Amino acid sequence: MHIANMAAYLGCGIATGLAAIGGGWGAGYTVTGALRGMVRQPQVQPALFRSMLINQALATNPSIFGLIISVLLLNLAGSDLDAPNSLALAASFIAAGLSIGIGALGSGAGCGVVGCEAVLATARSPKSEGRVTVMMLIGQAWAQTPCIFALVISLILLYVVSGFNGWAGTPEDIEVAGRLLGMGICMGAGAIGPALGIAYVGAKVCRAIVDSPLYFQQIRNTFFVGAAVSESTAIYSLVICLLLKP
Amino acid sequence: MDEMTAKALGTALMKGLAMLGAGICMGFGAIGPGVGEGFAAGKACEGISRRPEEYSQIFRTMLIGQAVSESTGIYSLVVALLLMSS
Repeated sequence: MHIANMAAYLGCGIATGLAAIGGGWGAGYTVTGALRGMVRQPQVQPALFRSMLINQALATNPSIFGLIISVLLLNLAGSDLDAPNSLALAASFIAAGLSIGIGALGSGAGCGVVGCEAVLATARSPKSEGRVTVMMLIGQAWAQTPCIFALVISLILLYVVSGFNGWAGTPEDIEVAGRLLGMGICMGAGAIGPALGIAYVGAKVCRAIVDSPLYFQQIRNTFFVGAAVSESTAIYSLVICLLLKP
Repeated sequence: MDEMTAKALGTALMKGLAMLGAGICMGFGAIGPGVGEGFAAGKACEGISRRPEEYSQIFRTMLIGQAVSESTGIYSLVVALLLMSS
């Protein structure tokens, strides 16, 4: 019974299946902002359309990470593994799928929220499009960093951990399986909250710099401090993950 | 299955589940503070854009609120570390 191969198929499905939720919702939410903006200011419609497409591409980026992990897992599932009956190997594949699958939810949805507010802000004040675009890109890049952590943990689970098969057949197999599953869930779930929080700040910043353009410095400072504090919980998750690594 | 193997399996199972629990603890424990602190910072930005002259007051309130919200994240971290060292 090759449970490791079976687990790799399961992890493959989990990875893309869950990662597609956030990206899909986020990309759609951006369109609502674009449509509201176009209704308000029809003459800037080309700029809004362009901005909407960029935001949608960024919002679906985490889902593409999930797709990459799925393809890697599919390759591993079809290949000859060194210890196909090892519980730890099976757990590493499921954990890799869980990590990126759950972790892409917050980033995808968050980037969509930022995109919506950014396009609306451009519609409200077309002449500050440059500034809004810069803040929007910073916000979306920052909101994707927890998803990058989840992707790194997924890749560690896929390639660094599964390369060593010394646990197969020993009682330590069960302990390592628990550690690996814990790693996957820790970074996966730990990436949701900070990504959503940072994206919310980014969205409000895009709106605020259009409402009071004179106080750009103070709003930007608040953005950086607030987003950094929110990111700290993602760092806690990453630290626990790396401590859990066998 | 002799006694020594059963004991080893039991210990491994207990350790494995403790590690899984540590992962779940920190994983789900990071959702709340992350979202909450982000909300606080977002509303702070909005408040500053509305009343720029109250910048220091708003900023200070935001930081204190975020610190309180972070404390629950620290609880998760502490419990996860305790589970890992048990």
